[in-house]
Formats: sequence, structure tokens, C-alpha cells
Amino acid sequence: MDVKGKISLRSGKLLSFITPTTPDDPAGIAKLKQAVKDVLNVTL
Amino acid sequence: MKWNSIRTKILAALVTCLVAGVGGILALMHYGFERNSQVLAAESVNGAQKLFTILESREISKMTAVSETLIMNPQVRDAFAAKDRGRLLELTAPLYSKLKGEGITNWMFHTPEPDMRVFLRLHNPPKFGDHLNRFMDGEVARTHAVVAGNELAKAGFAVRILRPFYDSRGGVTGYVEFGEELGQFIHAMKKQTGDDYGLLLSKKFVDRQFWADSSAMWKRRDDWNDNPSFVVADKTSPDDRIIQFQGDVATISDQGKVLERFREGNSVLVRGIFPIRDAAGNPVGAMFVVRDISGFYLTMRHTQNILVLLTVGSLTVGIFLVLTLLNRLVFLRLQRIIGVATRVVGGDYESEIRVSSDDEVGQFEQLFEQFRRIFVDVLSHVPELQEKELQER
Repeated sequence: MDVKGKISLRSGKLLSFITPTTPDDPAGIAKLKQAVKDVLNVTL
Repeated sequence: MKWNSIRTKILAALVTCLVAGVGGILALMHYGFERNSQVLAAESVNGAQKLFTILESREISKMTAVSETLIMNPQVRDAFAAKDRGRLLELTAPLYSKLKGEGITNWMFHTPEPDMRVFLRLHNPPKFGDHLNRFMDGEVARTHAVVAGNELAKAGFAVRILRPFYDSRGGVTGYVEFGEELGQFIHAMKKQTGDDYGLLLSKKFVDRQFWADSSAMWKRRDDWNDNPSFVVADKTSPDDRIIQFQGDVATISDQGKVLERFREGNSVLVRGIFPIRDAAGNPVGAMFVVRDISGFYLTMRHTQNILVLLTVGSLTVGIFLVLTLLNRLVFLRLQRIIGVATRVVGGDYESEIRVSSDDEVGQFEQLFEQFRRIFVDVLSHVPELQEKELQER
């Protein structure tokens, strides 16, 4: 939950509420990718 | 270490305070130590000067008492009134032998003014009839009272008393003089204090031939050429270091002067000088003093070292305590709040913030926990709202 929380805080998106039905948002996806890079140092 | 963290900033501020505090205290202690050393050195010179004055007064009193007794002796009075030198010598020589043992080195009878010649020298009987023309001679002739003071004469630099001698009808028949070599004072002072002393005379007030003659008479080395401005009448140490002095005796203040503080082996010594004036007030000589101040000096140094260690130690402990308290009371609790907030955002809605105290951070914990409950309550309704939104579409 700690990592999930950090990514959520970094990206400004609550990961718990992102489901398969959530509409694609290019700006939101870019923010999430950057947050993953910052927190886990993993490039998606 | 994060350079922009509050912890780092506080640590930097505390270390700066520590360095500034320790530096300031060290500077203050160094100043205090130097000041105390100077005062101690000045006190050493002042103490020697006071001891010299006390000895001088004591000897003047002694010689005055001896002269009082002497003028009461009718045989001596009559012999002097009759100017019978042989009889006077016969009467006073046995007493002079005893007085020499008490430090009285000079004893003279003078004829009355206006002639005022030496009538009899107990310390050198064959020599008489000469004029001395000293300040004290003039003073005793002018006042007809006891005159005391230091005076340079052919027999040396001595503390003297000079008083009128009367016949049975009260007329002045002449004067009697007693004197003690100042050189022997320094040996008495050495005995009392253990310090070393040196007596010097300004060449301005000493005749070259007189010095050669008196050196021969007292069987001492003629040291006229050893120093440019003074001659050494006597010293208690064979070491010439005691008498190193550049300058004019006349420039030394009446309070004396500390010349140097130096180390010799494990000892710390102070060397100073104070002037000696003659009866007319002329700075005819000076006295060196070398005092061992190791005891005081090393105690002060020891105290200073302990104070520095205590200061550094207490400031270090203080910094450690401040940082530990800040860590426990603020930083660790903030870290826990951040951890809980992060987990809650990540979906762990059961994580709670434990309010550990009712202090400032505790109030923040309480507020944050209230926010967390509201946040969790709001979030719990979001899936329901999303479902409803989808159905509406």
C-alpha cells in the first residue's frame, strides 16, 4: 500500500479508482508513468 | 543527509553555535588567563617593592632607635663635643662590631655646619676630614631633625639616617649617621621569599672613579663596562639573565614594571623591575625581581583546561539532547503521519494515525486523523457513485 500510495501522491491519481473501464487520458497516463519512474525507477 | 531538511538546518545552526560558543569561551578564557597572568606578574613586582619598603622602614626604625640610645650616652656625647676622635672611637668601636652583625654597615660622625666634614668613620676609621656634600647633609643641617632615606656615598648605596648630636647644654655638636647597604637587603629578601633580586645603580648618579674605588673596597668585580646605562651593585643569582634591561632607570614608573614572563624547565617565572629613589627623589637605582609563579600559573592553566573540556562536553551533550528530543517529539511523528497518509492514499483505509500526545504535533496528528476518517468515508462511496454513473450512461 505504501508504493501504491506514493505513486498516487506523485501522479495526483488515486490508483484504487482506476479500473479497466476508466477512460484513457493521455495526460493522466503520462503523469502515472513519470510517478512510477520516480518511485520505482522503472520505465513503462 | 538532505541539506534542505529542518533537521539538517537545526544541526547546522547548533554546530555553528557550538563552534562560536567554544571559540568565544576559548577567546574569553585566553584573555582572562593572560589578564590574570599579567596581574599576577604585576603583583609579584608590587609585592617585592612592598617588601623592600617594609624592610627599609624597619631598618630606618632600628637605626633611629640606635641613634636615640647613643645620644643619651654622656660619655659619647662629651667625647664628640670635645672632638676627641680617639676617645670617641674607643667608646663606639665595640658597639659598632655588634651593630655590624645586625646589618648596620656604615656609622659616621660629622662636624656641624657650615664645615660639616666627616669626623669619624667607624667602618673606615683612618679616613676622615672629607666633605660629603650630599642632599641629606644639607637637609639635616637645615632642619636639625632626623633625616632618613637612600643615599649614594663613597661606601655605596645605603639607606641612612642622619640626626643632630647635642652637648649637655643642648647645642648641636655635630651629626651622627647610620647606614645599611641596600645590597644586603636583597639577600634578606631572598631569604624571606625565595625570589631572586638584583640591585642596579644608574651610571648618571655614579662617578666612574668612585665605582672603581668602592669595588676595590668591597672586593667585588668592577662591572662598569658590563651595561651601558647601569652598574650592578649586587644580585642574589649568579645568572646574569636576571639583570637584562634595556633603557633608562629614570623611565621606570614608580609602580614598577613587568619585563617578561618566561619558562625555565617546568617553572614559569616573572621578571620585573622597580625604581629606587634617593632621599632627594632622584631615580638613582632600581631593583630586579625574578619570582617563580609556577604554582599559580599552572593552577590557572589547569582550571582553564578543565573549563574548556567541561564547556565543550556540556555543549556537545546539549546538542545531542536537542537533536534527540526534536527527533522523538517532531521528526519521527511527522514521519509516521506521512507513512499513514501514503498508505491511506494507496488504499489501506484501515491505517490509523495514533495520537501520541496533546502537544503541538499531537494536535496535528489528531487533525490529520479526522481528515483521514472523512477521506476514507468519502472514498468508500466513490465505487457506488461510479456504478450509478455507469448505469445512467
